[in-house]
Amino acid sequence: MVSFVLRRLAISVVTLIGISMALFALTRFIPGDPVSMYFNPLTFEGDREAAVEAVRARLGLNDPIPVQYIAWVREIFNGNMGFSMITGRPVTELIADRLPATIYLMGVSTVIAIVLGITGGIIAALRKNTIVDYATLLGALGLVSVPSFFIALLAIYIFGLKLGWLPTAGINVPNGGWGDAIRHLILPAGIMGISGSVGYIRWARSSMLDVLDQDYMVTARSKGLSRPRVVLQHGLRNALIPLVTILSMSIPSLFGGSVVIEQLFAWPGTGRMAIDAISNRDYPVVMGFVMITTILVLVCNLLADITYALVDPRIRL
Amino acid sequence: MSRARSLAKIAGVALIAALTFAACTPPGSSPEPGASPTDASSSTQAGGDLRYHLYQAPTTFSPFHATNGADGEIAGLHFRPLMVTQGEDYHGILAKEWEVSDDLTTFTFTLQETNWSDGTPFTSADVLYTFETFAAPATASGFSGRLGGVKGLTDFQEGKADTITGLTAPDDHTVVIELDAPNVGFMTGLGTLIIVPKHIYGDIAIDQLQTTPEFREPTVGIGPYIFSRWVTDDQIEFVPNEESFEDHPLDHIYAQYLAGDVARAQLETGEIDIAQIAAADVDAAKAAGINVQAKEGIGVMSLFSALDSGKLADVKVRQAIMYAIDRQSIVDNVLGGNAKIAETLLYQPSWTIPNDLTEYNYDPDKAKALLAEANWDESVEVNLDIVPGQADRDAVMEIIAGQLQAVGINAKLHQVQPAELTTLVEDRKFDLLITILSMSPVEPALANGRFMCGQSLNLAAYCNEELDQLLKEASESADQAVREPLYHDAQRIINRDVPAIPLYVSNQMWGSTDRVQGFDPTIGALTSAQNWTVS
Amino acid sequence: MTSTSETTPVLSVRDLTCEFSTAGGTVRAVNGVSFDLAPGETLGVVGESGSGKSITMLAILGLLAANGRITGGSVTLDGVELVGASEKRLQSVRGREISMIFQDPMTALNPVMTIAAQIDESLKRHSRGLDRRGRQSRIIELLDQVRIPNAVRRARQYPHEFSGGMRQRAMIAMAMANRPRILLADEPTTALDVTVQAQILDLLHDVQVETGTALVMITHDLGVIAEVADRALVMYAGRVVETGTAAELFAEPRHPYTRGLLASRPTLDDTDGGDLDAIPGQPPNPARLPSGCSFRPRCDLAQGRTECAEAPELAVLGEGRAAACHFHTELALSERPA
Repeated sequence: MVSFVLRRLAISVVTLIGISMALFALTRFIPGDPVSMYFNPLTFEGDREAAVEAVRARLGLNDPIPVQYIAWVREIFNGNMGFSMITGRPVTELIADRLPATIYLMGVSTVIAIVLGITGGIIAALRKNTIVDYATLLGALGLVSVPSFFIALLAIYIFGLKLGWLPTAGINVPNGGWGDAIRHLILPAGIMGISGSVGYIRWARSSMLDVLDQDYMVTARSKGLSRPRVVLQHGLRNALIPLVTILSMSIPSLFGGSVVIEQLFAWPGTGRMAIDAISNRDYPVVMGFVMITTILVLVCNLLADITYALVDPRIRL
Repeated sequence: MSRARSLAKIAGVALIAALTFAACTPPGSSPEPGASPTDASSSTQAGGDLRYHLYQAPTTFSPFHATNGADGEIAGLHFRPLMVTQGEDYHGILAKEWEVSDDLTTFTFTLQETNWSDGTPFTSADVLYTFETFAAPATASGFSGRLGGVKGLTDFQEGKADTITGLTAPDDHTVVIELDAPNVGFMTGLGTLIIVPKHIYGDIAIDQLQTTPEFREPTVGIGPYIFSRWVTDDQIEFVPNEESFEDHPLDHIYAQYLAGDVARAQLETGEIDIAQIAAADVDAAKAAGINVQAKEGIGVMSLFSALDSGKLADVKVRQAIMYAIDRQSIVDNVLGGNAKIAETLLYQPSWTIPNDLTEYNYDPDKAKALLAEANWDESVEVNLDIVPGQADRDAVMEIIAGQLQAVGINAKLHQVQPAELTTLVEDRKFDLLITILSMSPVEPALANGRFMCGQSLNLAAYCNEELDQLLKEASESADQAVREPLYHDAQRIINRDVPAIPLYVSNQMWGSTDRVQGFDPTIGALTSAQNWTVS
Repeated sequence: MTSTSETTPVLSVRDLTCEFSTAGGTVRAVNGVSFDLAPGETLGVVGESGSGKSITMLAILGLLAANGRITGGSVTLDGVELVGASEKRLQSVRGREISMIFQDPMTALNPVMTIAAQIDESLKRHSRGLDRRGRQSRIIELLDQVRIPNAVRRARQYPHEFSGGMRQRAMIAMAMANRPRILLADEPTTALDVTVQAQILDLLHDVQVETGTALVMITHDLGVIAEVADRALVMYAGRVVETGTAAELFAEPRHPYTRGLLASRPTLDDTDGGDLDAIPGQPPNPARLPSGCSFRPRCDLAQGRTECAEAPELAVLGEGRAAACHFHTELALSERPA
């Protein structure tokens, strides 16, 4: 196990370096100069060219790309990931502000998706080919066909505007407490959770059906165990092993968030931050965000692999 | 093994709980309760929280580096300018009085006697420091041109001098500005710049101003309400400034960026008190019981063409386009009547406009005739350049495309990303770029830079020597009786030359809930918060 | 030990019929099977795949798949009817009075539970009197009984850490945990090496002797019958076609199918390199059984005789001896196999 972890860490570092280099170069090749964009030619009063030149020189943007890269790496070791070209804020602060909100929202919605999805899938598998099974599959199909933003708008309209039960947007009101935070979380997390549950329903159903066919299920019944125990301890316990892998595939979205949902619900997360940074060619923010997300994804994948080994005794790392 | 599994399960749940917990704390839940609106029973005058919608995402409090309107609003509330325009007049804020010399070259401001929020006196040193920082090239401010024409500016900007000789402070409460040449509009341009405290920012290197945390979380201000904290990255809390000489009855103001639709919905539910409303939503808002007010003359939506690169260089073609577009119908159908058409790009103040301007009423036949006279080549592609995303503009451009095609102009919609837009403008390759231009409601000379030959703000690169002469003369007098005929002639030229296609002058529509008293968008938005109370 | 009329059978199966609903229609997999099981005896059940032998055993415990049901007959355990009994009743019988072991111990054991946990589960359910320590020592005792070395260490391991033979021992231990009266063994040695087979058969025999459990040994291998069974049933196409003691069946098969099975076994004397004497044809598809005698298409006795158009009754030939063939008498007179 230890050697496995060490090997993975070594590979991760190499991956990280490779990604940082590739991304650094790529962002510079995308057409569009952020400094030029920042000084809007339609409204700039004064000597725009001088201002653009001054800022480009200050930020070292006229240096060759490898030189810029080295400078960036050196700053990273000083704990400085640069400053946003648009707002001037330190990138670390910006991400530290927005990332928790996204993780919070995505984390809760993933939990909802899993709980709903697995429960639905298991029930459908146990009641295979009955009304319950068909209804569940049909419901899942319906959900996946309707775009989540449409459901979101509908939900905001019904629950926020018409019924007034839930707030229409935002992560909380200032000085709100726990209850308020939860009320704000219900719609966005609920909608994303329900949309996300579709994949889990289908997967859980098929995994459970596979397991139900296994010989050890018959053995378990032949021992006189109660039906719940057979389904849960023998069936579910095996059906859920691949869940770790499935979950690990959704880890990147945990940090990237959903731009659409964040925009609709005015959720101060990284989804919108990333899109804005890319549109504005805000290199430091893009680099910082991708680096941090990559690190988090690599770490989480490693944890997922370890968890997988813990969960399935047949796997030895 | 099942022990390890249970451990992993517990760890997972704990992790999620921890994240939830941790993420719950930063988004501004400090346990102290603000005075809730419900407890101010009969007292409608004091206390309460107000929630205000910012149309764009706020990025900084630095007046030097304001990137959008929202930045201007928050900086303007926390700090203050010398004066603001209200309606068609000036209203002094940090400037108590001002005097303009007869030859329009010397401006004297008498400053308000007041303190910054930390008790430090507000003096002319702050004003000088601010103006010089605006002008300094190292600041890279988009408003550096405001000081154009001040004596000694060039030497200062080229590094030959440490200060601007034309800016002086005879005493702590007086600022004198001398120009090289008379310019009547100068005062508005300079007077509306927002002033920052020298004792806070003076020690920071100028090229570090954009990134200093002092402009992210400013500690000292002078407005009626000052910055308290960023509740989230999109929401700012303002609290009353006890040192301010302006009224500050509210307990908190929360300025939050929201998408337009969300803001509209929140007006109805009462989660937000004041928000801008899109023209198309006005009727629905009124039906939902929201108070709707209009601020007229926000700007003229126009189509700009790079006249120097040729496609629309012939004035007849531009006139043809004016006739080809049914502007009244656009106003009625797309904007719900919440706009007016303008026959000239310089659409206000009203006294500059004569009543004998050509009215370009919708007349496709006339358009075709003009195109024929200009030997217009129907195969030439004319791009309708637009940065998509605002429903009004998107709809308008589609309609225009159809109407131009109907008269034989091969017009095509060309959507550009913001990054491409910059290149398009720098390369002078825009055929009909839709953008909004605002004019001062008080001082027409502020717009000179948009019309005069060789000026950087003259987007179309339009040049008419006769017009330049008229505008120059008009800026050398303060007497409206003298200026009016000059402007009338100038308007006739603009109306005839059509340097850009003026489509309509739009209104800015605002919605507010019944809780709010004293909100009047014609006076000002967030920067007039001293007038607001809630019940 | 032969079954005599003085000992009451511990298990009695009468005219058991099982049907499955499939996409192609209803399939009758077990068609009127009857037999008795005396306490402590070893009953062999021989037949090819599709003969219904496993289904019969599953039906006894009420373990048929979701699309199967018992449509007729009765199964009595000490006189108590199991067909139609409540699930609760059946659960108290399974693992306690009647246990079952299966063919492939790798797939029959839960891969994510330790051996100890799987045995413990059964103990917890049925041996309420034992506390945790009691259960733990019982588990070690069982593993010792099935001759798994290092029982304490092995108990904490997972099935995939055991060899094939050891897994089967573990399964036997699990099945015997609550001292059942009857052990149903569904081809327990089929998936094992020949040498291991012998060990397992020995083990089963020893366990049986120690505990007095009756054993039903399902197999397709006549050699196993010869080794362990007191009596045996031969099943074909869902029916019992012949019964008798192992000696009787081997010496004088009274059904052409039994005779064919015996003849098709390769012996050490077959050195001439000739073909195996396999029974011609294929076992019938339970969904599409031939009309009349199910064995007719493959039978050399039938020779087109019209009696075979009717399914033969199980004719009693003696004490515990029966055969279902119209011409079983002809077989009695035919040459004894070498």
